[in-house]
Amino acid sequence: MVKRIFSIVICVTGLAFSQDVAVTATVDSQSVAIGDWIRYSVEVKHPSSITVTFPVLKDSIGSFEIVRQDTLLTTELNGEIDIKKNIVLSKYDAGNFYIQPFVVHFIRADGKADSALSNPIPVEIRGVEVDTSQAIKDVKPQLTVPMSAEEIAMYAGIVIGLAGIGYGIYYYIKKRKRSAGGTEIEKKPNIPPHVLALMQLEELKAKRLWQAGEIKAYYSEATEIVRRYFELRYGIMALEMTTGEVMTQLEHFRMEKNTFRSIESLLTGSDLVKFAKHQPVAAENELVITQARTIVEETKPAIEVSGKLNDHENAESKNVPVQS
Amino acid sequence: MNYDIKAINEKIQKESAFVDLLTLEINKVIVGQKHMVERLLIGLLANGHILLEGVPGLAKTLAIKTLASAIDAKFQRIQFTPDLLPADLVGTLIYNQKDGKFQTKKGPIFSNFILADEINRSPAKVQSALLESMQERQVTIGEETFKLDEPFLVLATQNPIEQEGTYPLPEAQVDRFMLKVKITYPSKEEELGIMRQNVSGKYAEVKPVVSTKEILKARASMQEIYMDEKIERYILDIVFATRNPKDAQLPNLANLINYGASPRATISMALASKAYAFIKRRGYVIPEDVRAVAMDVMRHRIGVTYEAEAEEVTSETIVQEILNKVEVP
Repeated sequence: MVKRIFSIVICVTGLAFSQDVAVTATVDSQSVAIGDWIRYSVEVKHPSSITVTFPVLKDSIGSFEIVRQDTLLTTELNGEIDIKKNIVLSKYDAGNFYIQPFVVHFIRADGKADSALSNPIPVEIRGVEVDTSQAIKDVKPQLTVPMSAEEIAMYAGIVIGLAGIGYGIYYYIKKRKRSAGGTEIEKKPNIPPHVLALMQLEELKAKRLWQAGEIKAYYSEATEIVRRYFELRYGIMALEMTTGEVMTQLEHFRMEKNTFRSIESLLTGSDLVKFAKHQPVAAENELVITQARTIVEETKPAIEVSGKLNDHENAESKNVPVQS
Repeated sequence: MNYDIKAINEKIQKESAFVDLLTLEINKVIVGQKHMVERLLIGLLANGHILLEGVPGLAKTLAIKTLASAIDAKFQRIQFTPDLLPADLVGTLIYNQKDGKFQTKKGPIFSNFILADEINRSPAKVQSALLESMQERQVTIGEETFKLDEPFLVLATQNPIEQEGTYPLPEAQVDRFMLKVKITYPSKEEELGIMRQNVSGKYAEVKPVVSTKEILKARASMQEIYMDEKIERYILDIVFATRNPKDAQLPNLANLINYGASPRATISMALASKAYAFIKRRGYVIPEDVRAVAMDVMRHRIGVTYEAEAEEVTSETIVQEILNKVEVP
């Protein structure tokens, strides 16, 4: 104990002179536990006629790591300059080590360069003392650090900030829409499929395509109108289906046999014109629109209330799809 | 080109009469597998080779053997193994000690119908030798080139369940097959028929009902089948949808397709559609014909991305989606 107190109180001094320059290095303790801090102080004393270059320390002094270093403290008294620097060192290996001599370079008044260094300081790094008589204990669990008031305030601020940004975006979009005034896409009136099909058939008739020799285009358009009608009416992808596939799908819906045969005749007959260069006579061409119109009329929902389909009654009508 | 559809229709109806005879003869031995038999006929008529994929025991060999017997043509089965050499397939030059000259020994490829069984069991050099013969329809042994007999139809099989010790066909070589047909298990009723037929030990004798000459004549007639521009454009729409799915309103497929179908797919689809129309005894092609062959023509010609593989999306799913989306003319 006496030895320990002695070593702490009377710090070990490494003192070196190079003529007029004196370098002194001291530590607060020569025996520390592994990882403990060693307070290492360096003092350089020299006359003002000598220019001293204090070394720049990076991250270590020999095998000792620098934990922290203070700025240089320089004082001048009666033509003598005193430079002090405090450094905190640490080491993570147990054993006996030396803190290497501290080297200071200087230039004399006559221009000659020289250097001075302190003495090395022996330091004992003690390992962790293990009491083998005690039972082995588990590692302590992690400590839960309670959230500080600052942290709570920070999180609250983030939430409020995000809410503000969200509202700002919402307000901006709303304002923009309002200022655009009426640029919203106008919704098309919900025209029932059969009404639409009948309208399109009338338009096709008015085009007088077959009279102009465009028989193939005439049949293509006619079947397209009917197929689109089936798509909207029955929810089948008739435009992407072949005639055979359309007929197979239509078998799942209740309809008159004659209507079914009429649809098949219209589609297969049109296929012949479209793909087999069939040249129908004028009467056949005329018949296409009539036939298509009849199909639409016979398959449209049976009950209509004030221009809108009555879904409830529609479900009970004869054209309701049923799973086969 | 000026088409007289009525005359073509009549001609096709007359010349395709053998299709029913041939099908009946094949069906004496093959129970079910209508799809496979139909595709064999398409390959035969459209002069395209077929890659068959299916587990063992689904009558792949029997089907082509029966087809060869019913057509009175030469048939060869080549079992592809890891030690097979190109010379085992195409033939080689043998030194004749008597006259001190090299003599050509033709390989089994010199037949009308070839069954390349488990083609992916042989290394690339053998596969290349076969696929080259398929494409060029000729074989060079030493310095001499030999034309292969017509009809020349190669049916290659792949077993989808065993991948160890196999050499998968590269994409460029798979593309040379006009159709890739997937064979599924027969139905319960069909399998009952198969069981009864085999247990009884009485096997129907297949007689030649068509000559190779008639097949070649049918091929020539098939070329005359009318294909409207609308159908041609429909085929193009389908093929282009595999390359630019976004243009076909299928943006969801863009990340799933690595590469789309080649122009060879377009040609194959047109030829196979005509062959299908011929089988259905029609002188013109309708969208049904295209739809009927599209899956078999396209499934091996679309490369899927890693994303698709991760999502378990196959090329078949992609083809089906395209067929469901592209408007029929």
